[in-house]
Amino acid sequence: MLCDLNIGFPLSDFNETINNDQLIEVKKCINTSIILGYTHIALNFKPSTTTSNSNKNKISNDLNLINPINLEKDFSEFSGKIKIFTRITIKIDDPSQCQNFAKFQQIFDIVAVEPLTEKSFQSAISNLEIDLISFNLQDRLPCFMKHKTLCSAIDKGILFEIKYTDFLNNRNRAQSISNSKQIIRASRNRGLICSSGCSFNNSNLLRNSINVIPILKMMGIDSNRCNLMFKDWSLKVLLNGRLRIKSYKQTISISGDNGLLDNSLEDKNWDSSKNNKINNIKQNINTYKKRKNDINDNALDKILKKNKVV
Amino acid sequence: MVRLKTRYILFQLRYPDFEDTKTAKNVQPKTLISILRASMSKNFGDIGLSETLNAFTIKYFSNSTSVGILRVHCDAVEKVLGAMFFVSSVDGKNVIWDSIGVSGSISKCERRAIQINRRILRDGKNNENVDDVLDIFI
Repeated sequence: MLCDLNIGFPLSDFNETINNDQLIEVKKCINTSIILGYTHIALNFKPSTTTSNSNKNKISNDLNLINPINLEKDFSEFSGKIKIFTRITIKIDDPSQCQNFAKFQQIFDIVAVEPLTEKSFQSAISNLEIDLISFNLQDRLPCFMKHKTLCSAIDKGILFEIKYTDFLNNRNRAQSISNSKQIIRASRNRGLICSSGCSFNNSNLLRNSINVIPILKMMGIDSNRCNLMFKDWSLKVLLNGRLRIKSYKQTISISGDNGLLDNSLEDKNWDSSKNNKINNIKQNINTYKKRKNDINDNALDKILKKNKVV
Repeated sequence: MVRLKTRYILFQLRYPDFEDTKTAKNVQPKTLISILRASMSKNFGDIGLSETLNAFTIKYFSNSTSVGILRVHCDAVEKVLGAMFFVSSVDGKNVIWDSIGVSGSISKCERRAIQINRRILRDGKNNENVDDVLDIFI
């Protein structure tokens, strides 16, 4: 299995909706990644708003309106071929404005941040519950990368992202190579993932992992770890994010064999957003009931029968 | 004396803008070689270019399926795969240069190429327009 956890989603604001032309482009991107052999991809919603005092756009309180990526309606044709997940990347400017992160954790499979200052980078590692930290590699990094800060993040389970489309771009290529070398050095060659980071209308920037690995090797990662960046470590990020939704304090969860990494059975009712009812949350009892036909009675079943909920 | 060691890279050109591979009929192996050499010299300099001067030929390329086999020197495999990463267009068309595998003997590469051709045939049969697909191989 191969993962690509960053395929751009066309929208840049919470209030917009996707139009048909953009949807066709995104589908072309997904088709290309199927051809190249990827099995798990994540659509990356990157709102242009930053968290700071100057920001006027408030995030709406209705959970239904926050996630614009409608996997069941728009991307149902890909079920069985490829597994699609949703991801949000938020630029943080001011660390004191990050109270609404708990909302995103309920709705998106992966929560990533892009720190713009050193202060926000520190607070993202120590305070926020996130899965992934990514940088804009084409500009200067917000601060000098230290072993201590990066390794403490990796020990917590927060991984760092390198995007290979930055190397394909002729603009600022030297800067992005030097930046990724910094990250590789400071993280001591572990806790990294490699993703495409291609925008939705540029499906010809996607590459096979066999071609990306030599480039990563030239930056000083050994070949086994290059493979892990595409496979195991990417899956670790995905599983981490899924466990946040699906488990009790990341320790106990009820699922079958594939239930953790499969979002096809979730109870999402997109039409009832007008009633101000929150139906977009991924974990509830209906999710379990949908699965019930496949599995035998277990502990939760017996309790439910006792209480006559079922 | 040490024997000259070579590797064979099996690759396929993917055209993300077009559904079928037929649109690009006339890609010459010569142009592919020159594109790779240009990419090597741009990204790895003269040292990179020097590794592509001997034992660097396209052994097989089929325009109908866009599958080909490239022979490179053993030490240059990594750099050539890297050069393929940076290629973005062939003959003015956007292209993804997708390398499928590296092998030490050409027969293994051929076997995998045959597997790919079979898969293309099988996919074509499911799509009902069998004649169109068979046309590729004639």
